[in-house]
Amino acid sequence: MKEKPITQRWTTRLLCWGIAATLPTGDAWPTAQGAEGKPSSNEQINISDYDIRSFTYPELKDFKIPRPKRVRLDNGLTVFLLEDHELPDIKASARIATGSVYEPAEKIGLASIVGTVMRTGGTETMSPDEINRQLEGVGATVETSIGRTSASASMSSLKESLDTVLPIFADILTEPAFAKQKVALAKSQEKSAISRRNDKPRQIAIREFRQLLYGSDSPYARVPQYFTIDRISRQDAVRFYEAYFHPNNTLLSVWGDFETSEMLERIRKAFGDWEKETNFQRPKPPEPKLEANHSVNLIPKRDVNQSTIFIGHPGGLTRKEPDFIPVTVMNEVLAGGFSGRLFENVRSEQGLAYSVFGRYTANYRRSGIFYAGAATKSQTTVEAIRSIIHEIETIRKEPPTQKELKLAKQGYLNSFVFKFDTNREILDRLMTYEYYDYPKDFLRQFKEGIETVTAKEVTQVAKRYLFPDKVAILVVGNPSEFGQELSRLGEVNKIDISIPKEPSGKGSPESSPEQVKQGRKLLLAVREALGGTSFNEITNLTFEATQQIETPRGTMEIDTKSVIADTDRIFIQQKMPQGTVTITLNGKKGTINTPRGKQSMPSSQIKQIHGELWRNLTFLCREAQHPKLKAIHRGKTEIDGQSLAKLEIQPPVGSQFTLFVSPKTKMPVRVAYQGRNMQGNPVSSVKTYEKYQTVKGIKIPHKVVTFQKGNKRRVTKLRQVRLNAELKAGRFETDE
Amino acid sequence: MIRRISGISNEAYCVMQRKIYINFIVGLIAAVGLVHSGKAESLLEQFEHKVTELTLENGLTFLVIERHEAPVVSFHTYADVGSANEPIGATGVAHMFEHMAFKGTTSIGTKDIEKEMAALKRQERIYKRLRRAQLNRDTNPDKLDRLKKRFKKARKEAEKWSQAQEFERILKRAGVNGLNAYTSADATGYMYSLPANKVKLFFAMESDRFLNPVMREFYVERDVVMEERRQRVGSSPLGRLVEEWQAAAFIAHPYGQPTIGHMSDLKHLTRTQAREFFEAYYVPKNLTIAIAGDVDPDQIRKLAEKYFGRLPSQPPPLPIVTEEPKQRGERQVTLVESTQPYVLMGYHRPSIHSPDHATYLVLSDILSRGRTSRFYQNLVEKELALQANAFASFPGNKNPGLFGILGVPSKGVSPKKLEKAILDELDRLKTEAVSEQALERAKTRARSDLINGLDSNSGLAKQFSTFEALTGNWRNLFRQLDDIDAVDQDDVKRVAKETFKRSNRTVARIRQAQRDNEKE
Repeated sequence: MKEKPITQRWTTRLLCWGIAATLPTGDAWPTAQGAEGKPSSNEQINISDYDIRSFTYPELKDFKIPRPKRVRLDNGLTVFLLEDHELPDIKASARIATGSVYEPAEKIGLASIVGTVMRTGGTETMSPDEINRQLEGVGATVETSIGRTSASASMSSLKESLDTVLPIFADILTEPAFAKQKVALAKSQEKSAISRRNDKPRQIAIREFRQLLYGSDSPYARVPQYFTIDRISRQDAVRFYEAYFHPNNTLLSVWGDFETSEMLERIRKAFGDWEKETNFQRPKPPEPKLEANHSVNLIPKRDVNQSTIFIGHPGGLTRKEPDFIPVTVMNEVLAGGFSGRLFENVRSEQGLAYSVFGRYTANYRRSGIFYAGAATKSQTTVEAIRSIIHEIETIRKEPPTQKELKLAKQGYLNSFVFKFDTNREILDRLMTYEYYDYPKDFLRQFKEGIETVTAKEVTQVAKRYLFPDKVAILVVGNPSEFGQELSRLGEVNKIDISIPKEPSGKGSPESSPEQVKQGRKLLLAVREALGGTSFNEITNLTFEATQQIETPRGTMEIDTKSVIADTDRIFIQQKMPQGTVTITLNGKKGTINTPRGKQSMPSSQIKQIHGELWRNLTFLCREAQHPKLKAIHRGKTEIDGQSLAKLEIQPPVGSQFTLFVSPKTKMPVRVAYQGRNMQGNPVSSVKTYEKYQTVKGIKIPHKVVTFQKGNKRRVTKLRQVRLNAELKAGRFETDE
Repeated sequence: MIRRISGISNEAYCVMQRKIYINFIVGLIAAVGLVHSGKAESLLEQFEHKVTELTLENGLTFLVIERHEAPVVSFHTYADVGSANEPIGATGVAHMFEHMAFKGTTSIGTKDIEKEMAALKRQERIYKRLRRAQLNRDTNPDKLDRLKKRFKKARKEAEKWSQAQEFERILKRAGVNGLNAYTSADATGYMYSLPANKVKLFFAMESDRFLNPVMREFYVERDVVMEERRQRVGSSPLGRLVEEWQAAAFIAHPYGQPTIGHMSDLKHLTRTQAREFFEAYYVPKNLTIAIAGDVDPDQIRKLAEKYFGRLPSQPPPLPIVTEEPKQRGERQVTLVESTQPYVLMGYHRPSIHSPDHATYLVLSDILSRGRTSRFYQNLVEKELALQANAFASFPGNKNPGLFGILGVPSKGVSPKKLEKAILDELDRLKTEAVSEQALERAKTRARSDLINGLDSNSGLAKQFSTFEALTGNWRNLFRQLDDIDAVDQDDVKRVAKETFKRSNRTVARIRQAQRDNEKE
């Protein structure tokens, strides 16, 4: 098709300015601003007269891979040195075996704070400001940080300033002062960061996906909370530092414009006095025990028009295992760069995403995870998930084509030289192998392994290590815009990511044996006070009550009846103005019967009700000896002028709660727990127990008032309590 | 801590999302290092021996930086065209072409070029009719449906002949490293590295890329770019804020346009538009290619002439004529979001060619580089801000742009309170002289920044091509910055006074909605 020269259209544009945007004439569009006209290409197709695929190249010339010198000082510090005189600067990097996996569960965030304050908190001889002035005065940097399983410190200095910078670097590593106000600043910054952690979809997805795979309490997934940060003191930081920062737990590499022997002298001078920790045992990271389970999880976020999707399951390989070699090729075929299957099919062919990714990871000592995902517009959420899972299924069934295999292998082998093109990489790798006790020539062995991988091996490992039917699926997105319901992929578990202000279930502080002992004692005292051995007689409980619920449209009254037989046989009936709802739970099954019909309940809801059951005082006292029930004495507190003992209960199912017990009568006067508001969102709640009356030797509060965030929400008055009533046959049958 | 919240830049649009060139502008500015004269000279001298310049007859400039440490080589093609060159109604086309530059050529990525071109032409013809029908309110819905079906069919037909991934596959087989690209308001950059024995491949591929691009699979890639927009802007509070801020700050100059493009423009972009944009701007005089690594300049010269000599000489495009008029009063935008607050402030400033450019670099250094900076000491350490950054030019510096400030309030601090504290800091610069030490620090830091930026092939290729294209001479990377060494206390005060005026300011902020009303 012949096109008008641009100059001509430029005129058209000037004449038709107003219309151009709404009713383009032909396809006359305003041309590039400032572009001068020139004729467009005509019918003729220009084709280069060479074929790139037939190019041959000279052999890559041999080159001498720089060999760093390795020295161990008397105090156990391992040093790698590499001279490089290209530019007048010197850099250093240290790695220390520690990490946030070793911080106590009640002080999550401690390692990160130590990593920050080592640098910001001054040293024994210099104030924080002095360090900043000195370093920045010579254009140098020193930084420290602590990650999950290692800590690092780095230095960058002009050659001429090394006398200033190296001693500061050494002091920061060997005698940081942890100035109190800098610990406070770091804590405040951690809390600011916590407050911002739910703003970015990808950040949310990565964090929550880890929690799904590892469990939210796992050292490999847990995150700091306001209250875990609050518990951290300067003393904690000092202790954490002192536990791990020893020369014999540290690797140091230095590279740049120096003479090796002279630099070694300087390092001896700077680090020689650092005292060795005798009998030091390097910490061993905990081994996560993981299993793959299919689940569909949703984190609703209203202010996005795109879903961030993560799909995957725990992995089963370390890097050292031979299978990781074909897995590396599998990764390339599945998701390597622009030409991996995921990229090609999800992005290039379907245009479903800009960002699409996937990888089976492995660590040096621990197994990794398998993950894949994409960010796609809300409407195509389910479509994109299906496409990704389809690719995971396909790679297990269809071996890579010879072309795919060749591409993956050649890509790896031909780009191998880039693993040696910077000193930093060479030294980092050496330190890593030393740190994890890998052979020095591990990379060469690995490369030789890649050369021999076959298509069959790729399929074998894909079958062995990928489980598309057992993936956890996580979506951060706006469900009101989804084109298809997420529930088409399975029962949807909604994840609550609101930031807790105080401990509950998740991230609860650890307890000392003494607290557990006292807790158990107090729980038994409560049991004694409320009925003692009478509890042994109970086989079932029936409560009939009237509830007055405060709603935005006024007070609503409902009649309820609950029958509790065992820990897992429950019947609940609620008579509301709109009709009657009954819930029947039996073991792992549950049904809900509403005026609109009967249906089975998702396991998450069943669990929730089981959890709530434990907050029933009578039930709790009957089950006080349950082996999986934990009671912890959390000291005393004063409420409304009354001193009360805090008894934290961690039930076998559901989230924990705290009973407030009168020290004199041993009767609980209130309970604090994480409840749910009308919209089903978690909210901090309190119930007060009033009007205790005795029924068959057991004291039961006949009036219970519920508060949410301090506002009165519900008053429950017991009309009748029956113990050991004869139960209707079939009471707990859940079949539809 | 400091790196927890990423900075902002409109440089972040690259074909692959794995590497995001957020630091490009920042890096560039940093590299405009303040080199102490004598030492700058010796460094420059060192590079004089390593650098070979050559300009082909068609006007295309090459810079070769020899570095024989390892047998690898990095390439950076700097196209002096960015989103600021886009016409109204076609925002995003510069970036769209960048994506298209990965889709192959007439000899790479096709099964049968004759058939493919015919199919692509047919596809385009139908798309133009569909587009017109979509934009015409009176279109009969049946007709629209028919056209949609025909278009879909035409697309499938064209795709039958396409092997668009071939471009990357060839490079991958050759052992490519760091294959990527970016688009900014000022420029579009393409880069990758290869083992040094495969230099010839670069010349054959890259010259074909800009001589015979086919722009296949345009319409599916347009969907990809829309997803990129959703990711970077639609679903990111800070992305949304930057777009509002930028739009408010410029009423005339295209620096106010988002580099990624407006969604409605993207939805209607045509392959023809992308081709015309390419033809107007990707002329040899508008391209600068830097090659750094283990190469022989003589061989490079031969290859350059053989392969890039084929690009026909064409007149370069004219510069942007639109000038941003002087701002008459403060502009403010407040977004009420469910997320945590941010503050953005911008003051109009002249381009990189202004004699005061160096002073702006010093100002941003004094305000926010390092832990001795004003923002760190008075905002971060006082727990008003989790982070506060000044950036010397946004969204580009080829034309007059903005001196920008991003403030991230600490927990519980309102954006207004942080704004007040930032304004106090700016006022101090207008009334009190900065200390000699602070000035010296800025100058020393620049020297170390410069040196740090010279230690990789890819960094060298990027910086040298950028400086050559932007300032006319790569030596300015070393030299121009003596200007900065000449900046004194009076300059800082004068420029602060001229710039940090209320009437010259655009503020955009995110304020957090009341929690209970906004909860999920």
